[in-house]
Amino acid sequence: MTDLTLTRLTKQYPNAGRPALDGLSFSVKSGSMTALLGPSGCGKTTAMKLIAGLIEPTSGDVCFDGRSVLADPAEKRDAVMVFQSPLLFPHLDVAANVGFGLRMRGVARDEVAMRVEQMLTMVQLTGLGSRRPAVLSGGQQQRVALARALIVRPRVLLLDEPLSNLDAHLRVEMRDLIKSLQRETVVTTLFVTHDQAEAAIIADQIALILNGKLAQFGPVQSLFQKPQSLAVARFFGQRNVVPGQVQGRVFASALGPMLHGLTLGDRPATLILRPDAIVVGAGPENTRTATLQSRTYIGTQTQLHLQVGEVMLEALVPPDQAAGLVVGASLQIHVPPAAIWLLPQGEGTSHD
Amino acid sequence: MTAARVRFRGVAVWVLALWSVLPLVPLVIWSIAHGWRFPDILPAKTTLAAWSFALSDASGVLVSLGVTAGIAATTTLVSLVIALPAARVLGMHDFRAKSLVQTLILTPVLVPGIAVALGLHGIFLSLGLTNRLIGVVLVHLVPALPYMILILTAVFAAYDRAFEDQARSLGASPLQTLWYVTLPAILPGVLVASLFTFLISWSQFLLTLMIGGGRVVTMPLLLFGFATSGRNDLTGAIALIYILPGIAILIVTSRYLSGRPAAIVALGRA
Repeated sequence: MTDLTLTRLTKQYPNAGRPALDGLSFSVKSGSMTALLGPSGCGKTTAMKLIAGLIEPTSGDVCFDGRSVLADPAEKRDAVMVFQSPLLFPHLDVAANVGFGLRMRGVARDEVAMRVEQMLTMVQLTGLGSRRPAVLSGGQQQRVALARALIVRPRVLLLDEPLSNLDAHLRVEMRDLIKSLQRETVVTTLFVTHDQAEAAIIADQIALILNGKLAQFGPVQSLFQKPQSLAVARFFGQRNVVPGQVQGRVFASALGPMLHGLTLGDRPATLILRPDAIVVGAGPENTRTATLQSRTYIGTQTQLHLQVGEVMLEALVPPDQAAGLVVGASLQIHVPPAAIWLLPQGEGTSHD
Repeated sequence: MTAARVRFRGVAVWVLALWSVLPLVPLVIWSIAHGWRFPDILPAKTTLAAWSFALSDASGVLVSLGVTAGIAATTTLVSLVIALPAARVLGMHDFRAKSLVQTLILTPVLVPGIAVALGLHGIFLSLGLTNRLIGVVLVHLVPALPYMILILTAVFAAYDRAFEDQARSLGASPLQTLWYVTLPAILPGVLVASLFTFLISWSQFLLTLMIGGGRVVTMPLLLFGFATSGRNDLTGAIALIYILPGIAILIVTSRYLSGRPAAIVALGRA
């Protein structure tokens, strides 16, 4: 049970242009699951290694329960990292791998054996203790790696893209296992991923890191629905971005005046319109006439490309709404004012 | 593996075995021959006289075996101490002028031994290192180190440092990490490199002769003495004693090199 706080954590490698990690600050509650989300090379893994004590920060601080752990070497931090590749020690069998951390701590053999058995049961590998890592499947290896980390009851568990080397179906299985184990053990967990869907499913909150800096921190809905910058909006694949002017309750743009539910002063702003916020058919407010340019089925939703005046919008609607629409024909759409998100210009874009 | 490949491997093994065993046959016959003249295919009578002389104190073979093994073992140990850190850096890190450093490390192999020996002789003389065991060990390092560094560099290049990070993060101190993770991973490679280095020192003739000044009598020097004296029976027996360690090492390493070729690589990767 450990609260984790990062304070302006910075890592500048010599001879590198910009810092790998630039002033990362956030705080997570004990027992929570936080996703470190961002494109590859954004500094996520650097952050993990700094917390684990495998590299030293250029500046900034890492605190567990309010106490700085920077002076503690990696082996004293109890911040266990699980890497992308399982990294099972090839000269040890599965049981010895899982028991490794306990043995290094000088725990008696009997107790190690007992706890290894318990741990193997938890990760559904009962009876595989005497196998060599090389004969296990990729999913089994990753589960051994997870067991090896959890057995030492770490204060902080650092998972560095542990699912990225697995097949799609294994990934879902492993993801659910990680989630249930995390709930069971209540260990403060950071989970690095570049997959926003994975982050959304597994984590209580997301720290989005772009170019070594924290772009936004919060629950997944807030990042998706209320991006604090254009960069965040773009990372989440928002393509309906329309510049305009706030005039009281109305946002004026190439889409015409639209009612919104936000309190902003009159100023230039950018409209971020989520594809799923667009509804087919006329509504009480913000109804527009559009021309359907294309229609694509993508699983449970249908993607529409809509021409509204000069603006091309992308919409995701349930298949029943899309039924009967004809490409090239006109249709009515509307946007509920509550679904409109506006980024003040000059402020929001400064994070860019 | 296909049947054709199995057959090819079988043939190849036999060709190689004949290739290395055939030259030894005359040595065996000489060592037990009691007079063996042209055009006899085999000697008329056999005797173990040469063997009993070779193994007696008078021949000096046993003392020389000890000296040779001692020098080779010391050379190997010193090479290991120097080569392990060097190879780790070369195999795991990139730095400016790395290829230049690697080429410089290899140069002793490219320069003929006699040139090295002549050049070093004067220096060793002025340092008082000639005619002594320590001087011989030092000069054996010249041909031994490049091979040691070369093999160990390959070992470290296949070694993934992430294992050490993983061990540290699981609670292993730097020493525990070295003992429980790094050493087991590189051990097969270190063993192979050590055995090769041992053999390089074991077979040195010229460098030992020039720096040892005839006072440090290793097996090749002793053998050369008997060979030039025309005693074919003694030469045969001593030559066989001399090559025994080589054959033993070949058998041991072949387990690592061919029997389980993936072992060395697999130890480095997951």
